[in-house]
Amino acid sequence: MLTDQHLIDLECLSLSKSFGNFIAVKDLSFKVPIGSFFSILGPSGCGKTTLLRMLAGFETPDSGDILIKEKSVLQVPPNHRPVNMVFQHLALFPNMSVSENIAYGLKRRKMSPTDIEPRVQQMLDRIDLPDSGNKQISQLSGGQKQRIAIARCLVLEPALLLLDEPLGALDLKLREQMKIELKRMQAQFGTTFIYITHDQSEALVMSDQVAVMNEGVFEQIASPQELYHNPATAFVAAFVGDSNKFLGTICKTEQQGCEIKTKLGVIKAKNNSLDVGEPVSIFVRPEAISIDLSFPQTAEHLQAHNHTESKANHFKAIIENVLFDGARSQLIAKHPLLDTPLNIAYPHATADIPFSPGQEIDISWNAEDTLLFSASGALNAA
Amino acid sequence: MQPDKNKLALFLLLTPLLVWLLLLIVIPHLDMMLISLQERVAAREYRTSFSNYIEFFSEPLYINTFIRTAVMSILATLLTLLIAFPVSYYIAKMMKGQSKQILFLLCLIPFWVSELVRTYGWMILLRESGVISSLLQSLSLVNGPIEMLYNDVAIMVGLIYGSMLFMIVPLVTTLDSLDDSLIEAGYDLGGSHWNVLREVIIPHATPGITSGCIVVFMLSLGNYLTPVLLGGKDSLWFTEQIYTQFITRFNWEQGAALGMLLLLLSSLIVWLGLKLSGQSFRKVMS
Repeated sequence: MLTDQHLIDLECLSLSKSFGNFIAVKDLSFKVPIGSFFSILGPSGCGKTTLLRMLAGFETPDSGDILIKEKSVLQVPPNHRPVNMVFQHLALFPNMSVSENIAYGLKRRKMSPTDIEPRVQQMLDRIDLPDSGNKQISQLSGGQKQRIAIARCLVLEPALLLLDEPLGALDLKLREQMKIELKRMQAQFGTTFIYITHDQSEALVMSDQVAVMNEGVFEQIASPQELYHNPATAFVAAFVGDSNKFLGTICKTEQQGCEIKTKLGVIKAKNNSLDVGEPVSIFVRPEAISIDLSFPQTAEHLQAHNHTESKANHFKAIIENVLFDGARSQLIAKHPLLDTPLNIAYPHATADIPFSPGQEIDISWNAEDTLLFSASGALNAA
Repeated sequence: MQPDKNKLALFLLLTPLLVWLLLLIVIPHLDMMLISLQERVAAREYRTSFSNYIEFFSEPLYINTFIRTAVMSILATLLTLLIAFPVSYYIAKMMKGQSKQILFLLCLIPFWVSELVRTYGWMILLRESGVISSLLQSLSLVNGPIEMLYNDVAIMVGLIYGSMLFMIVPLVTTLDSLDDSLIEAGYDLGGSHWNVLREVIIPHATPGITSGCIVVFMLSLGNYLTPVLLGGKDSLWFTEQIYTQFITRFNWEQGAALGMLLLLLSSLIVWLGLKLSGQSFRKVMS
């Protein structure tokens, strides 16, 4: 964590909020460094919207404090907070033109029309819509509306920009485009973005830091890479990215790691912080699993087979299905001892896939790719 | 075959409406117009002339009564809007679920009772020996009985009360359709309560405000019962003049002319109102 206090834009101190018996946000504390793209990722109902609305001032926390630029904003009403929000459905004013929408906030600051006009035009230039000032909102495309909604906030130069799943309503192609666009805008303007989403891809692609939220608390705050490769909890491992999950019990511990007894057989892991007999959940990423055909054993395959031998975990499985999806292609494989099929990434799928359903394959993965979590709830890094 | 079937269905659906419009609106008005253009020269002898219309413009009583009725109706409309807007906003935006429906229903309940009974209710409250007068006396706030009926304030109270629902219904409907996040965005970008009301809520609610105002204005202008019962004999309401011509003086020609003038002048006022507020019928209806 950063020690220099001046580099912190937002700080929450044991923030709590409940609605009746439902606890939406539970004793949450975190800091967001200046100029960063901070995402809060969680399933619906995890409390992320409530958290964002508290930052904007539309909800009052039951306890705790919110500091923006080191000043408590609890007593500040939404219209005076140095925070602006991009709403889920954008909430552009339909009765105003594009320029009037952008000028709305500036007018509220009692700026003279002669000062407002150049700033609105400058903002339109920066979002690449220089000629759209006189258009009505209904004339804009989804992506343009998105940019206007962000411009309307950024023109006020807020300390924080809050974004409430603004890409949710867009179609897939536009969403992919806007992810890149948003990241570019954040870098260009240097404003701190607080972005909430339930879409892990949005969070991973755009963010500097991601907080994974579940049942009102942050399970982990980390960079996207860290989150993916070193999930702190079983929830993070399951929620971020795809994974194959096994349940088991530790049967042996040693210096370099441990062995876990599962339905599949004994799985090796690098983790040695758990005791023998402890029930655990195991996650293995689809792309961590290597595939090798058992038959026919050509020289080439034998070579690959030898390579496989060097990996700690080595099993046989039968292909159930081949799901071709370009770079996201997958094999679904069954093991006679497992109830659920295994997902194995097969990113280099070409037109002539050498696999077909019913075929037996060798699968293997390294001990360090076994993500291990105590099923009794304690946090354990793999 | 399909288009013909559709045409038949449309025709069958429209028939009752068209018959209703023809029988109850078009024919009586055409007849009224014809009657209003007749002048009695001798017993059972008539000729066509505009004399009944000229009578309206040359007799100050008629014109003054009309102006008074129009001004009072406009005032009643504005006051109704002023009272109904916060009520509607509260019902549409502050209340959620069941309590919203209950509040809306509470606004409706008075209209299950006949207008006559409701007006008598006001008379029971306001008359010399009425509830309010007795209460004030028993609290020793006044010495003798006080009469609160038969004045313009009583008429105004009756008119506003009687037309409240017709303002609340369109307002609640339009405010209900306003996305909460637009209001929040209005505040979030630095707007005060007044800014948000002026820039976000009112522009959205304008169709509801306009249609509510038209209905309330027309109802007040054409109201007969309330001005007569609460305003007394000297209430000088234009509909009373029409009634007097038709029933008391049996001068159907003059009554018909006044009726036609009421229709034309009130339409003119509504048109002017729409023009002045920059509205159009098409916007209101959409």
